[in-house]
Amino acid sequence: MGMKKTFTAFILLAFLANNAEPSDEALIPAGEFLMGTDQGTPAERPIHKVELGGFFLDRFEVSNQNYEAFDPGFHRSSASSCDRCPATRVSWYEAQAYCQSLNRRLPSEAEWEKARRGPAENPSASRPQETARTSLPIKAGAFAVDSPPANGYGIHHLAGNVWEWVNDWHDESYYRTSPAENPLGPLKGLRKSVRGGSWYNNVWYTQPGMRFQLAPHVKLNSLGFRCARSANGSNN
Amino acid sequence: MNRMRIKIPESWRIPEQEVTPEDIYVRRREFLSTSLKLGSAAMAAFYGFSPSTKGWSAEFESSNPSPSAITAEIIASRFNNFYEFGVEKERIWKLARKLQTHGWQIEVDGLVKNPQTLDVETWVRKFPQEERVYRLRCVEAWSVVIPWTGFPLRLLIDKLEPLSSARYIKFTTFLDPVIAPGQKKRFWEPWPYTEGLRLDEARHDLAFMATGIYGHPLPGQHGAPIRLVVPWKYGFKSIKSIARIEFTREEPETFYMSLSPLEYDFDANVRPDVPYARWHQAFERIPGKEETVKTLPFNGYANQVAGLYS
Repeated sequence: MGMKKTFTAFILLAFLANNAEPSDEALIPAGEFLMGTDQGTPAERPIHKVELGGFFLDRFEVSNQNYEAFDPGFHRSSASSCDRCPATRVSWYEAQAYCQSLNRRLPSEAEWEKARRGPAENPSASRPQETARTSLPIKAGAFAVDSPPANGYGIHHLAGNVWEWVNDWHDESYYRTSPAENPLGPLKGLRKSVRGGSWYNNVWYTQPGMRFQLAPHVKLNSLGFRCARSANGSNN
Repeated sequence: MNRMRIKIPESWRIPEQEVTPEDIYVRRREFLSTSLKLGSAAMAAFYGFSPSTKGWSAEFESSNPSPSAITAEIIASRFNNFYEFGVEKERIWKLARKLQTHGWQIEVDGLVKNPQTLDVETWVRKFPQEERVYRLRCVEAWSVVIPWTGFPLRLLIDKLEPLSSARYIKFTTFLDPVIAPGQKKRFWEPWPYTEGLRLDEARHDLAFMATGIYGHPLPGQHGAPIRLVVPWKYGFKSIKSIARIEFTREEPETFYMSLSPLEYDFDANVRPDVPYARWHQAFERIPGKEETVKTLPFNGYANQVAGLYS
């Protein structure tokens, strides 16, 4: 009788696991990857090996609807105004505060790039580049955060749709001295790194290794964010 | 029977006899002649175009006037807007040296009989080269007078054979944020730069494709190796370093209209009576001179182009 109950519970769990809605987070397993690109400027060089612990990354950019639950006075950008469109015109400080309110944080630049590159066993599983929301007219505006495409981790819009803040300060020479394990960026700086390109940027800007920078107080219609957390349970 | 040929100068030519002393005129002809003969490393180094630039010189029309109003090249070549390379006008001539123009190609597509890739050096030779001295009026309320070398845009359009459904021509410049740091630093702007004209504007005789300036090939800061010059419109319409030409049915979205649609319109004709894009447009400064002059409707070319807008 006990065996039968256990078996039934196992079947039920397996059924739920196969039919549940996918989590809003994707687990990026611990491991190494090659960071940087030689297709860009000196800021992206050299290509170097980075080892990261496991982490969870939001599958979607933070939406207007979700951000308004945190900040009811938030004014949506006219370029990204639907409920499920990404919250843009958010400074780095505001993005960080939002993530902290959920006991999470902004992804490090290395975490963002590893997720953008897709699973190591199938990096091109980041679905065909041509479907990314990029190279469109400005007036097209941003797309819903859960609209296609998603990459091999099931994460949407790491290429295109809107730029995304990451946690690191930006230093163009950082890759020459950065630690090989869990790099967190320079200790201080004037600008934060942003990644990913937007719906109206040329595909060049959406390449996985490309780095860009902005002062943390800046707000753009085409700049949003997503949150992360470490898989070991810490918020770091 | 012999016919006498009487050359009637085009109405848009800037009259040299206005104020040009003979010695200045003569010295300028010498200068231009020397420039053409040199056309090379020394000139390239001095005026800031890339040593790798392989330009093509043009034969000048001997009848072309040489107005004293021409801006000194040292000024026109070191005071430039080319945001792909940065925002400091005085530094563009140095930064734009990185522009490599050898083997430059232009993609031609859209509503055109034969979409194709043009090798610029080959194609430019298909057209008789001429010199045009034009006023160039920047929307930032300054102006220069520049001797361009090139050919009328309509000659190129006729060769490309747009379909009858085409109503506009769209131009796109290069995209290379590695050599053009402005395209990376100002990453949120919709690079590459784009501009456009109605096809009837583009076919107007004043609309010009420039491949040279002051008697030598265009240096980087002036839009090497080939650019548009539309003298009755604000300077930002005269797109530099053209890499793509597209014929369209609908009005194309341009760089500045995308960025700031409330400030910039597609026509962008010089209109001193209409404040435009953050600058009053009634007067203009002359770089290198402590002088401000009144801005003229259509930048002084109203007699030639006003009919396009009536």
